[in-house]
Amino acid sequence: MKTGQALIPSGPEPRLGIFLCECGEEIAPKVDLAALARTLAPAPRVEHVEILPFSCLAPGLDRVREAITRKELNRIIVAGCESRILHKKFDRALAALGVEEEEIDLVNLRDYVARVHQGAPGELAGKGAKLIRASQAWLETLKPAPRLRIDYQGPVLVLGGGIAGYGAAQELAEQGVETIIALHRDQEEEIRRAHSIYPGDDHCFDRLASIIQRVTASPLVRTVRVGELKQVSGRFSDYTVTFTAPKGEEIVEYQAGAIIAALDWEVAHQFPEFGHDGDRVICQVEMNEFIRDGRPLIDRIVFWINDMEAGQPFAAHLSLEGAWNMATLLREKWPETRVSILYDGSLAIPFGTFDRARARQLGIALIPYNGKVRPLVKSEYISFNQKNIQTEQDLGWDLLVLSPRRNPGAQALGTAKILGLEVKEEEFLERYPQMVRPDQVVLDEKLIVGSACQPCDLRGALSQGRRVAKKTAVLVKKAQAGELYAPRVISTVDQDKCSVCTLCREICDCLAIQPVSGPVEGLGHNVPRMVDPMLCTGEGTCVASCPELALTLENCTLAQHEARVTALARSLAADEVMGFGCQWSGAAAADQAGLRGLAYDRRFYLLPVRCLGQIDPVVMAWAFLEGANGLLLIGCNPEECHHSYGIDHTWSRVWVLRKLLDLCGLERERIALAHSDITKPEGFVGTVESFLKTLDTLGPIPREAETQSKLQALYDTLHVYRVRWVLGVSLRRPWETSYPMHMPNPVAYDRTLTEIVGEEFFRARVRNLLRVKGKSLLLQDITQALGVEEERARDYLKDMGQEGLISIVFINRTLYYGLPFGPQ
Amino acid sequence: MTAKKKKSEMINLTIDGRKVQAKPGWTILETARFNHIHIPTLCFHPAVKPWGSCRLCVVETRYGKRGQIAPSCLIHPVHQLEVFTDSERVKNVRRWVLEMLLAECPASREIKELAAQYGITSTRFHITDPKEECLKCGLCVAVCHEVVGVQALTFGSRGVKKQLETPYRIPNSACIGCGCCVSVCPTGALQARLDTVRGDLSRRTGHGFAH
Repeated sequence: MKTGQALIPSGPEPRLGIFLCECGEEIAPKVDLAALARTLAPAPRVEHVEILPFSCLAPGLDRVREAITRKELNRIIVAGCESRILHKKFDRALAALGVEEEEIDLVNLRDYVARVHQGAPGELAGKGAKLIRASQAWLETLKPAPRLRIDYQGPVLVLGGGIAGYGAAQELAEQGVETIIALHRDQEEEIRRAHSIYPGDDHCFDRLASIIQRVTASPLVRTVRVGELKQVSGRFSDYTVTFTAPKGEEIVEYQAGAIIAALDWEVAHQFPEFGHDGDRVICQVEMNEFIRDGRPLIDRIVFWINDMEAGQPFAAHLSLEGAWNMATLLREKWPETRVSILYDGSLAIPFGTFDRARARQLGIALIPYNGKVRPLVKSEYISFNQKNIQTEQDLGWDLLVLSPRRNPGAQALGTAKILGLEVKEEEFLERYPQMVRPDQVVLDEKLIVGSACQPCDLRGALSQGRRVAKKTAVLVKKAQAGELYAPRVISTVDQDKCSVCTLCREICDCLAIQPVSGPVEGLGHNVPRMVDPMLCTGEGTCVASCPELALTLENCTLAQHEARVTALARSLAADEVMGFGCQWSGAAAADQAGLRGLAYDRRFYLLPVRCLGQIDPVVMAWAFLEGANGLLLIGCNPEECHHSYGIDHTWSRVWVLRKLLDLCGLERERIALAHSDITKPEGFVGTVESFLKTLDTLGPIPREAETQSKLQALYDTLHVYRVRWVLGVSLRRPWETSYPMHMPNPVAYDRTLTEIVGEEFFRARVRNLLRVKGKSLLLQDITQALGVEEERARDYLKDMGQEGLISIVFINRTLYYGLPFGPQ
Repeated sequence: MTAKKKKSEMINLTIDGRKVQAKPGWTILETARFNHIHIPTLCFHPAVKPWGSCRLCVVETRYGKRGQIAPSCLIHPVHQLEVFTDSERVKNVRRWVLEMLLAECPASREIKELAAQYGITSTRFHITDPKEECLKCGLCVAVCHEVVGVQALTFGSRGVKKQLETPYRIPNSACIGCGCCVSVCPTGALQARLDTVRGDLSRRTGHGFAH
């Protein structure tokens, strides 16, 4: 063991080391680093401040390591450049010394201060000091959560009954991973079904048969026959999957560590509007049967690839390939037939010159048509507009073969639903991987494969299965070796606080939040939530919306946010403004503004966050309470959140803050949400300049007792369950059209929200007033102190009394309102 | 390994006549920068492994009677090595490099400014695309792979036809849109090109994972 490891105390006392980078000519001459170091050094927990030419290069890193070992530092701030790019290098370099990634923070002195502002080095050092102090508060409040190791148990369960499952099982067996494959049919039936849903793939069936054989023969693969999938519960590493028995009603249960769902599409005949009659106008599925039955076929056969016209352009190349395979088979078996393939000329042809040569050799006519003119089926002829020549042509047929219609199928959608996915009728389950870094989430995509997810042919389905199995095998092996850890920043639920409102589950788009163990008998679904650490991307919009504040974002907590905001807000001058920037857009655009040498007002202070969604409205309120005069939140473009609609949720939260600022008698414009993108740093600069201009016209918030008490009430209001709940249900996905609580339209909904917020704000103010006065008050006292109408106040107070929030007593025939009796 | 032995491992060399010390594992560029000696670079970024594609960081090294011009970001110093970061020979190489870069990416403001510092304002090489800003230094490719951990960007074609692109020249679903490639680009060429890599982000979010 190295000596360095033993020196780091595991105790909670933070010992900070601050390293200031000169960065060649980039920072040092513009910012007075010596003065900055002098400002930072006297703080109580700061043990080490050092100016380095380049902290990020090998000599600098050696110095950082040496300081950590010598002074037993456990929190590191590097004031240099972009955290997005260099954080990882510091993580890796300092990991051996026991400094975890969340214990390192990078402050972008170069792009937030040195490059973008003109000014005396001393003044710029002042700005740098405030930013570093904020980061210092963040790290001091940090209570590092223990690393969460995933204990993996049980085999991989392949369910869904799709062909892709065989590909997956084969790969897993080859990799030496124990697997259960749940089958719905026997082998013969399986192959018959595959023939009917993958027409034209006959040449792949030998391979499929051999794969099936290998899978069933493998000692690592257990084949089980099951009926319907009933329920999936648990999380990665520990799933319980329930099926009905293949025959009868009883239930069978399987334990699995991971689940791969293999889902096949369903294939149907083409619409009659294309002339389909099952006799002379048939579709590829029927043609496939004819060929397999060896039915004698008649003279002129035309394959029309009509997927474009049938509204399924994604399947056109599959139909074309199927048609080509069938056509070659036909010409080989029935040389007297004449085969043509009529396809949309705008298609990228999936076969090359070799195939074209073969087509000529076999006498298959490949005819492209102009897709803009719809071909029309007539008896014995099909008319089309030939591509390039642009003339109307007729093509005679005796048997017209249309493309089949493909849809994901009820069975696949049902399975997906049980797995917790939101499914839409007739829509394929295609998923894109999560748009976060691989180290921010373990399972970046759900393990669902097959043609019901991504339309493909038989070969494609098998390879999809193999691909996902390869990924799973890597994870499983890592977990079995005890090396699979959850990411450092993930949500966790305090099971005691959770009131089972299901809000977080509705909001989470990563599918990470689940009931503890599925529906419990007698309780229904009402069991506390838990977070699957493998799926959580660490965004935290669920945390920011929990009405009970029962969720925590590990290593990125509410307390940390509040501490950082406090440190910055208190240090700001009257004309200075703070803001939050999302690491994907706002903060990135600020980095880019520095790199591109843009300049903007020095009075803007940006705090980078992982996602704006994690900024609880409480934090926004806290900023105002602690002395911020304005708050600018810069995030991604709408609907472009890399996690789960964080930016869209922030939008709702900012609106509620504006309502509350109104109630405080402050200007709504003091808080603003802006959208930004890394490719548009000029836009970022424009946003900042215009917000500062707005704040200049508004002036600072007068900080007398009255306003402070209102801001305190604002802060308290946002802790109230009712407000958080109503705000939570209003966190909507942009495409949703219905409103919660049966509201007919957005105006009615907003009116309700305003009323609720208004009432709770009043309540918070009354409580604060009573607490300050320390005695019961008359109605007139309250209305006078709070400046509200008497009638309304009486109604509100009556409700408060009934709810036991205040006590209402008669003394000498006069009503007195006071704090409730008993423990408060 | 004992502490005593470690101490004696310091390498003594001179850079531009200044006596400096380096630990094994440091490159000449790192040693120079740590001693406030400026060496211009384009393709070097501390976050990724150096691979010496821009050839701007060349220095002249002399060891006894032998000497060579070598990229300082890649080579490690040895005892008694003499390094010259700004000798006439070095400047000459840099001028050539910059002249070639001016032909490669004539639209880049950064390259023009750097070239002007060395007295280069025009190029004798053939300019293929007067609007090109990318110098194909490969930083974006490296950062995408080494820092972000995905492989969204690659070099397509070879030799003089080498281009920065995504596989099949279509937006790559492996791209997470973090913009790290834009941040490390020495000429800012990627800022305008990012959309060809990441595609339409809104198409890719809203994957409907919820209930």
